[in-house]
Amino acid sequence: MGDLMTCKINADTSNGLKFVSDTSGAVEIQTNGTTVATINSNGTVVIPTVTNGTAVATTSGTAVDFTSIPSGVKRISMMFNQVSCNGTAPRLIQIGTSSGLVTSGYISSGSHQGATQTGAQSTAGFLCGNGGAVGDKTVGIVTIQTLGSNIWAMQSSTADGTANFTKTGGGSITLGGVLDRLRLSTTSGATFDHGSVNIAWEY
Amino acid sequence: MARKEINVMTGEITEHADDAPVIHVQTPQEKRAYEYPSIGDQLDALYHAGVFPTDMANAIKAIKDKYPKE
Repeated sequence: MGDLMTCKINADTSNGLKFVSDTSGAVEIQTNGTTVATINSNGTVVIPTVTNGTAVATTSGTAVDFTSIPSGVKRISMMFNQVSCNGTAPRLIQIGTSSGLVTSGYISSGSHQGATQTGAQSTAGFLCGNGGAVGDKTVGIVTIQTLGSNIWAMQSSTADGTANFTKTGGGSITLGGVLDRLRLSTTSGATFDHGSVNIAWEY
Repeated sequence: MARKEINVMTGEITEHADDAPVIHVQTPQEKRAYEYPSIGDQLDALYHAGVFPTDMANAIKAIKDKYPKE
């Protein structure tokens, strides 16, 4: 980082500092053209803490990769909107660093609950449940959060949408570096054919 | 194209030809386990088929009578 420009305002008093908007508009703090904090005229303070990525249609392909996730992110959520594929396998999430996706070493298991219940384990990725039918349209959220030291934990809670099943999963893994990407796929390499997915991240 | 890549900072979507690897192929038993009727429904079918021992059938009937369908 280069030298910072320092702007001192009324810095020689111990009485604090007051920003005044002389109209009824909001007061915004911006950096690089982006508003990072807003104080509205009604007194509410808005500091966005969740950033959404770009929603992607899961209507083709066998995987969706989200890359260039900013460093310093502590929690990532993946939101499923009726994600369907042409196979019966559960959804799988892998995370990685600038060196690539990590495809082994996960401690993860998932299960489904409904008319029947079964579970499974995976070392190849975070398992978001177990089992499935071709017509399943996954809805819900998966959360991946760091403990620090590049250790990440995952929990998933989704539903099939078109069937009376819920699916849960959990897992953890230690990465060799800073997380900057993740992949949604299935264990079977099935092709996505419906819905959309997005991620959001928090610092 | 078999894989989509989304750069979350730019929003750019790139399509790649490579597939996600096959990690696990479900066995027929796994597929069956997911789609079988619930154990409760299977037992209820056996009850209605009249194959339960008399004491078990009587116990089930007593509960059905206690909570009749509306």
